[in-house]
Amino acid sequence: MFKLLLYDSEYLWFVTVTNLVSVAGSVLLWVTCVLFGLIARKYELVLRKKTNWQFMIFAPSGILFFAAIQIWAYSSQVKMNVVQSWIAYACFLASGILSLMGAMRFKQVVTPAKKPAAAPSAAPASAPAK
Amino acid sequence: MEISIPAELVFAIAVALFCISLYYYGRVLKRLLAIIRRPSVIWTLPIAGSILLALGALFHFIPLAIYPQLDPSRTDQLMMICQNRTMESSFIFLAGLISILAGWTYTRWTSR
Repeated sequence: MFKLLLYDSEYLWFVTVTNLVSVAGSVLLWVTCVLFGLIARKYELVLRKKTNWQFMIFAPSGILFFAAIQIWAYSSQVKMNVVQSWIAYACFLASGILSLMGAMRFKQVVTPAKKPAAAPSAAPASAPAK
Repeated sequence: MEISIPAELVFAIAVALFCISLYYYGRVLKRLLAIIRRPSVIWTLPIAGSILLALGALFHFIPLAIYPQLDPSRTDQLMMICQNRTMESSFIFLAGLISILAGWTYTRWTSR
C-alpha cells in the first residue's frame, strides 16, 4: 500500500532507509550488551570476581531474532503482522529480562561491599586507661 | 492494518527492561572508571542511550492509534506513520550507537 501511495524518494527515505536503520539499531543494541559482557569478562580475569560474563554475552541473543524477524517482515511489507510481532516482541522481552539480570549481577559485583559498622564496645577500649 | 495491543505491551515492557539495563551499565561504567582512576563522563552515555531508547518506543506507540482506522486516501495519516517510524528507528539507532561508544572507549582505555 505504501509503495503505491508514496513518491519514490519518500518511499526510499521513509520505508527502505527507515527499515535498514531499525534493523541496524537492533543490532547495535545487541553489540552494546555483548560489549558489556566482554568488559565483565576482563573484570573477572583481572580482579578474580565472578561476573557471569558468559550469561551476559548470551542474554541479548533474542535481539538478533528480533532483528531477523524485522528483516523478514520488512522485505515484504512496511510493518510486522500480528504473528511476527508476537514472536519478535517475545524474543525481545526474553532478552530484556536476561540482559537486566546480567546487568544487575555485574552491578552487584562491582559495587564495593559496605564496611560493617564499628562495634559499640570498640570505642571504650581505645580510650586511654585512667 | 491489524495490530495486537498485548503484543505491543510486551514490546513496551521489553524496551523498559532494556532501558533499566542500560542505566545499570552506566552505573557499572562509573564504578569501573573510578577503579581505573580515569575521571570521565562517558558513563553517562549508556544512561543517555536508555533515554533515547524510551523516546524511540514513544514514537513507536504514537501511530498505533491510527492503524485501526487507517484511510489510504489520507496522505497526512500515512506521512505521520512514516515520520514516527523514522523517528523511532533513528532514536533506537542512536541509543545503540552512543552506548557502544561508551563501552568501546572504556575497552580502549583498559587495553594495552
